[in-house]
Amino acid sequence: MLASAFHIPDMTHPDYPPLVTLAKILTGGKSAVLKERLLHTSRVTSIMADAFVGKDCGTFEFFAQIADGVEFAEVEAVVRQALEECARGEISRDQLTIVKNEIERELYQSATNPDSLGQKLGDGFINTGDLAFGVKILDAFGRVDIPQIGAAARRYLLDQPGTAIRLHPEPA
Amino acid sequence: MNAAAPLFRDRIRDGALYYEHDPRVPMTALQLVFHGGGFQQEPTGLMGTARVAAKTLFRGTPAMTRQQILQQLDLLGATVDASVSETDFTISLSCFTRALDRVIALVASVVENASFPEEECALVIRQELNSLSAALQNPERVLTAAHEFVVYGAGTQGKIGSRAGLERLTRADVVRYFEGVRGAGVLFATAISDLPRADLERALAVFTRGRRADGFQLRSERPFLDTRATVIVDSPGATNDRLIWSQTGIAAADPRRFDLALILDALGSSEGTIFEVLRNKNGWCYGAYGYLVPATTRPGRIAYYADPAGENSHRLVPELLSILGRFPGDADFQVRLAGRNETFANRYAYQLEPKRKLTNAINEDRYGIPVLDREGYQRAIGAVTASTAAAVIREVFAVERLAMVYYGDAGRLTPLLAGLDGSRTPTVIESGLLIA
Repeated sequence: MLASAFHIPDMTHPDYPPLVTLAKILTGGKSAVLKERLLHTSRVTSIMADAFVGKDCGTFEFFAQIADGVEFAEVEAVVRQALEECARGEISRDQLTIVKNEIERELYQSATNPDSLGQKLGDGFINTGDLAFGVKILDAFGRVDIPQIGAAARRYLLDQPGTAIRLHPEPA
Repeated sequence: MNAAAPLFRDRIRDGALYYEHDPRVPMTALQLVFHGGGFQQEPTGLMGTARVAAKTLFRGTPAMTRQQILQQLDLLGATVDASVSETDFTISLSCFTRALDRVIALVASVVENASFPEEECALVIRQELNSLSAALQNPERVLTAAHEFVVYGAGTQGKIGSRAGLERLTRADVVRYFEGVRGAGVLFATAISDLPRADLERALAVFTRGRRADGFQLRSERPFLDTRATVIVDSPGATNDRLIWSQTGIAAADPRRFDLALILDALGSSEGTIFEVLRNKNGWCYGAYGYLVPATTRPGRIAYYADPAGENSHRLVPELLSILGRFPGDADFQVRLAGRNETFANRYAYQLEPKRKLTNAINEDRYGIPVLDREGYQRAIGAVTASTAAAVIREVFAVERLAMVYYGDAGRLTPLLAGLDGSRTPTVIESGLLIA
């Protein structure tokens, strides 16, 4: 298992929507960049990236379960290459459409699931003091553009050292 | 196959649609269930074929590559997955209702023309092999699989998977398997949508019109053995031991099911006697529960779980056994049981959730479990009393009939178990057996 984390600002910061969008470009849909390059090619058995935030600050985190016989460095190199492409603005309109679909789906799913709705409202209230934050920020997600995503990738992930944990399985 | 005759004759008809209207959001969730296409149809020696067939399904058609299919679905805002159970091969899709026609057209095309390249099949098999290795690193997964392996008779069913089966599997095997699935004797659908039922029936006709149904035919489920085996999956040096004990329960539509549910809640929930004694009072473990393995066409099972720290196993194991022998007369249990009627009565609201309503309707047709309205449910819960529960405990619970499965240090557990019950001789197995 590979886990890595990078410091990011809190939910109210203008870079929060680009960071969430970046995470979804990387691993959000089934055709997401890292799923295509790592999961569908059997180099990992699972992969996930997301922007986790609290009241004060947050972390951008990657988790990947590495497949047998694959080196950590190989997976890290693929992740870094994908981040560099995003930083250079190599993001298609289709990728942004897919992210917007994901965000719309999550909203609908929250609306029909009490646990999920409570989480969304609670996160907004606890982290920003605004119960409606999770709904209000949808407009900001809609305005995210490719240069903003690239800048966020550069500032918070490529230009920061981050912290990585490599978990090795016990020998059989 | 040692499947016994089912307790209830499945009456799901080909082409049935189980539908719930949900106008809250403009979304549609569908499941296409190829009833009889589950892993019960896997050829001998090719365990894993059904899962590989499910995972390769969206990996290509003559006209589209895997990447094109997945990107198209993402662009339509759809998630589509295929999965397998013992009896069924299921395609689940969820999408914006505005895109439903296009999503269904794409899925229908894949189902009709699935033709993944050799290398996609090889990649999926490699993923499956990787996931077998990863599963052995998850103690809960190992324990659950070992328990199923034991109560299904230590054959293939219940194992996490089969490395040997996957290594033998070819693209031709997978294609042949999916042909059987596509022609399953019964194809039914479930839908939760803001669209009216008639619109969905029209949309789904593409899957049912002129369909051949001469492929896989539903077989009886494999029954659970009434075994009192004691099995330890060895994990040398483990700091925690884990256990699942279980015994045969009752049939799905047995009228005693309400008593049984309340008894197990009082005994084994996080507000139950077992949790109170083993965790809250003594701190010997993190989790300690009693629960039901649901009955289907076969009777369910009454099961218990605990995960004692290694140094506490010699205290927890005899105490859990003692609780299971003495709980019917235990004052703490009786107090907890008396409070269960109100708790369960308040849970009726869960039955109104759309997914739950669909499941209930299907369970009525599959297993003969009647769907109760609010009054019927409240009556059934209200009818559970200390005396009816005592009768059910006498009739159903039998501590001497427990199958006992452990995952932990066999060097620590073997002498402990030998001292506990002379009539039980533990069998020690390696976790690798569960993926062999």
